[in-house]
This record gives sequence, C-alpha cells and structure tokens, in this order.
Amino acid sequence: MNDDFSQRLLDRIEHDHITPIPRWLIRVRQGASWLLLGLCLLCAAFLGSLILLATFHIDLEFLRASSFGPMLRLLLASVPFVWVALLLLFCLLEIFLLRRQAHAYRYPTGLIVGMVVLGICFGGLGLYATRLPERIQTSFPRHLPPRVRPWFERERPTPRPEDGVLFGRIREIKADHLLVNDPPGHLWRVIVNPEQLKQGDFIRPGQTVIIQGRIQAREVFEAHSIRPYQGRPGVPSPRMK
Amino acid sequence: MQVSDADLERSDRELVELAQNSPQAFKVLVDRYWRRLYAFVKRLYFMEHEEVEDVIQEAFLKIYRNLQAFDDTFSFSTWAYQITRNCAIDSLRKKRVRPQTVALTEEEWEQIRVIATEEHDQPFDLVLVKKAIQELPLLYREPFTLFYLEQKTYEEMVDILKKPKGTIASLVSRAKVMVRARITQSSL
Repeated sequence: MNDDFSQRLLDRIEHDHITPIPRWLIRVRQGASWLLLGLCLLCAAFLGSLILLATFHIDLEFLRASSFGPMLRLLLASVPFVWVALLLLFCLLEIFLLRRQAHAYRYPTGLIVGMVVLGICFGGLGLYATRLPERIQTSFPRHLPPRVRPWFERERPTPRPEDGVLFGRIREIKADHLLVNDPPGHLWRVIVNPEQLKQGDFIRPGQTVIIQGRIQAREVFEAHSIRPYQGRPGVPSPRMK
Repeated sequence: MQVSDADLERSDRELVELAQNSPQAFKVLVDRYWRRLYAFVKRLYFMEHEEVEDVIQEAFLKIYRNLQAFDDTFSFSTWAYQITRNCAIDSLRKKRVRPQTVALTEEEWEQIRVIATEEHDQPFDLVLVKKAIQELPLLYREPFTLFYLEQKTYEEMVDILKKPKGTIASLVSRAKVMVRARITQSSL
C-alpha cells in the first residue's frame, strides 16, 4: 500500500457518490433499537407474569408436602412449556440488544443478565397486579386450534405417589390399611398403624387426604403421616372419581 | 475543496464535523490513521497485503458513511480501531481462512523481544518469542497485541474489543502466561 491510499479512497467516494448517512436516519435506527429493547422487556415481563400466575395456581398444601425435586416437577407441570421457552427467548434477545447498545458491552455479562432479570421481575409483578395475565390465560387458549391448545393451558398438577406423596379420597377404613382413590382413579391400599388411625377424626370415608410415605408395591403405599386436605380458599379441588 | 495547512492542525473531532460535508477533510483523517490501522490489521490477523488494503478501505468507507453516528464520548482513534476490527473479522469469516504467519516488522519483533526479556528477567531467542505469539489463539492475541504493540489503555481496549475491562485484563494476563509458558517449554 502506498501513500496515495487516501487519494484512491477519496476518488472512490466521489466516483461512487458515497455520502454520510443522514443524521435523522441514524436517530431513527437508534430509536428503533431502543424501542425493540423496550418491547422485548414488555413481552418478557408479560410472559413472566403468566408464569407467576401458573406458579400461584399450584396448591400450597401439595408444595408443603413435597420435597425440592417433586416441588420442581409440580412447578414444571403447572407452567405451560411454551411460556417458559418464549420467556427464555426474549431474555436472550434482550441481553443481545442491550450488549449492542452503546457502551453496554462495558458492563459484565452477569450485571446485564441481572438487570434483565430484575426488569422482568418488576415488570412481571406489575402486570400480574393488573390481573391482565389472568384474563389472557383464560381466553387465549380458547382461540387456538385444539391441537396446540394443551401447550398453552395450565394443568392442576397433583403430587405423585412415586415422589412420596399420595393425594386422594378415603374409600374404606380397615384395621391395618385404608383404601384411597387417587385423582386418576387408581385404588391404593395405604398401610397404616393403629396410632395413625387414632390421630384425628378426619380419617373417615369420603375425606380427602394428603399422605406422606413411600410406595411398597403396585398400588400399595406405606403411610408415614396422614393429614386432611383443606384445599385453598377460592381454588376448586382437583376432580376425583 | 483542497486541504489547507489549518486542516492538518485540526483535532480529530473537528475533522469529523468537517468531513460530514467535505470529503477532503475526511482525507486528512485517512492520512492520519491508515498506516496505524494497516499495521494493526496486518499484525493481528496475519493477512496478505491486498487483503489488508481491502479491509482498511472497507473500514474507512464504513467510517465515512457513519460519520453522523460518531459518538464523541469515544476518541476517533478508538472508533476507527473498533470498525476496522469488525471489518477484519468479517473478512476472515467470509473467506474462512485461518492466518498462518505472523506479519510483524523487525522493529516490532525487537519490541516484543524486549518486553519478553523484561517480563522473564532473562534474554530471549526471538524465534521462540515469534513462535509463542504465533501460537496464541486470536482471543488472546487481540488484547495482547493491542496492549503491548498498539500501546492501548484498558479503557480504549474495552471499546475496541467490546468486552468488559475485567475480561480484557484477564485475557491479557492469561496471554502473557501462555506466551511465557510456551517460551519456557520451547527453550528447555
């Protein structure tokens, strides 16, 4: 490269009629970028509020009876998978856009991620308080084709006996065991000791109970503790046969 | 419009303002920086002469088109390095070529040898130093070159490499350790 490099460059600028991009166009581009960032934050906050709604839908009594793993399983069964996937997508998009904005790359990624999460949490709580997600969650899946509807609908998950918690309704009381119907309709033989049967008058046919213990055999459950299921006020109990 | 002596004395910021309406003022900026950027691309991305020229030309055209977007919280030099680096990386990506040889001048090699000698408190064989730097991955070679050869500060490197200061400091430090380890290994 010789010294006439700048002259050749200048000739090319003049020959190709290259001109600086107008200031207004640059401002529009920058504005659009910030607008996109704001929209992403809003969408992510909205999805966050939907997830919050689904989380609050889980029965507290089930959570109280479950250990950490089963608790997480309940959470995953309750929160529609599509919302979580979209939330992650918007989070990533937001982090990417933030890093592209002037000077944002100067801050550590952890800080940017933290700010995004905080923004989503605050925005999500604000939107949750407006009860908008509740209305959307009730009406939105109805407008979808039946095939995709389950992706967006919440379940009311119940604990699984495999996780050490059996939820069901007492059918019969025997001397050393109870017959309990779980929500899917299986009849469980729950082995109890006489002290457990004496612990309260709630052990009677027709009563819904939460039993902590472990599976002994197919549809045989050993009870460590039994307590009545009160159900959360305002939340209908899961259907049971 | 011709370049006057007064234009040659102007600061980068003033020239950027002028260049928005006058390509001649831009020429002064190009004259001021192309050699530095040429050396930067050549020593960092190990490109051939024609490739470097293309990258530099593309970078200056990009700078010219985006003159109105120049953020005066940066120095012009940092901005030019940032754009040149992006163009060089784009060019490498397009051609999917991995540079093979280190293209440094004799003085630059001498400079590296002096630094390596100071770091290690003992004289170094230039061939070993060359080999050690050549073997550095691009991730480490960029901050290493900017810091030791371009004499950039960490603040400037943050804007050129678009990485947080802590990350750059640790990359420079790791690059130094890697170079030192390779030199020691080779001299055994």
